[in-house]
Amino acid sequence: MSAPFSCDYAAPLIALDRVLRCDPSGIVTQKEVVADEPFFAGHFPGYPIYPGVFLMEAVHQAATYYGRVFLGRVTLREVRSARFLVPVFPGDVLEADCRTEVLPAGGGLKVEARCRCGTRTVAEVKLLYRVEDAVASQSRTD
Amino acid sequence: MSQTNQQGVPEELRQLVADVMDVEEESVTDEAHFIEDLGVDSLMALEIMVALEKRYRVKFTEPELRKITCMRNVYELLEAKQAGTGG
Amino acid sequence: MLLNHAQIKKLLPHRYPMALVDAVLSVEPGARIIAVKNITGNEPCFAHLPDEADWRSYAYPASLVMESFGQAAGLLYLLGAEPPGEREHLVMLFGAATRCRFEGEAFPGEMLEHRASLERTFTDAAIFRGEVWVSDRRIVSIERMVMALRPARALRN
Repeated sequence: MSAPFSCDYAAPLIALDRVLRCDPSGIVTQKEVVADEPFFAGHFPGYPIYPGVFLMEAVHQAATYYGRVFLGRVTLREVRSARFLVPVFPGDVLEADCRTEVLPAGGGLKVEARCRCGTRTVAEVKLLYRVEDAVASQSRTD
Repeated sequence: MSQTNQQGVPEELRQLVADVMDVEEESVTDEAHFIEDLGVDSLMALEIMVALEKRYRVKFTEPELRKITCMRNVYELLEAKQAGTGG
Repeated sequence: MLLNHAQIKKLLPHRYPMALVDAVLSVEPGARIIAVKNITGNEPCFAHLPDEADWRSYAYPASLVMESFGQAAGLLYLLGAEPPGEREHLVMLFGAATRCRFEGEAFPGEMLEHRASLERTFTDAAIFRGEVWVSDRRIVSIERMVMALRPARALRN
């Protein structure tokens, strides 16, 4: 399934171009990092480097999408860990491969993701979310 | 340091390292290589060192860092530090 | 303020729209810093929100709160006790973050106050911890953040 993505909340950028897979066990998203994105002008002038926090943002947007499909509104409770292993540059194609787990007894949603460019793992991100709406929302396409 | 079986790494130390790595204590075996077996990155070795320095009130040098590749060398390095014999 | 925005730009390479620290209020070199960023409705991150967007949509994104904190931490490192000399050709990159708890949010009209502490420096990394406050509310607590220091020439394409 390949679905266009949109944000109805503030975002530094749209961190995913497409959703490659979304099922109860997880979500895989993809983004092409292109040189003309507005933030590259400032990060940094003369040597564009994809900010590590935007890798975290990609996982966050994937998690929010997943939440909307299966659980309802989710809000970020904790960045359990975010490890940025390798710099990412314009021209790289980023894939965020997220394993999701709904924790028992209202524990919320755990998302553990590996971000890759091709075969290289560029980041590992673990996020924890509160599920705001107890009732799962209807499946939607955005 | 806390109670330990004869030659074994104390539980409290293993727990501290596992906590810094955010992995299950059981996976941090004495010989498991942090980078090769546990998938830890190079920055993590520094984080482990800082956690040890805080908990055990010792100070490591950067060359000693390179000795931190598995639980066993963490323990040996720490023991040597606390005994004042250096790394 | 101790450092104004122009002075910050002499220390950090970040530029619009990624220059996310407005001013430094205080610093204990090598130990602690308090630095701030105002949130305005005019931020680029709000630009795509439709007119009907709920007020909660205007929460400043967590990733940018962390980036802003990371830049405050970077300033603490650069204002450290030792002479800057060597550091100028090093770029600070976000290496890792651990257990950053989000307890609240910041909205246009509010100010992020970053309170960062330097735990340890190494030749190629620095470790911090800290908190982000909005007036009398703590919105983030950061157990550990690691910045990697890399030579700029290795990163230029």
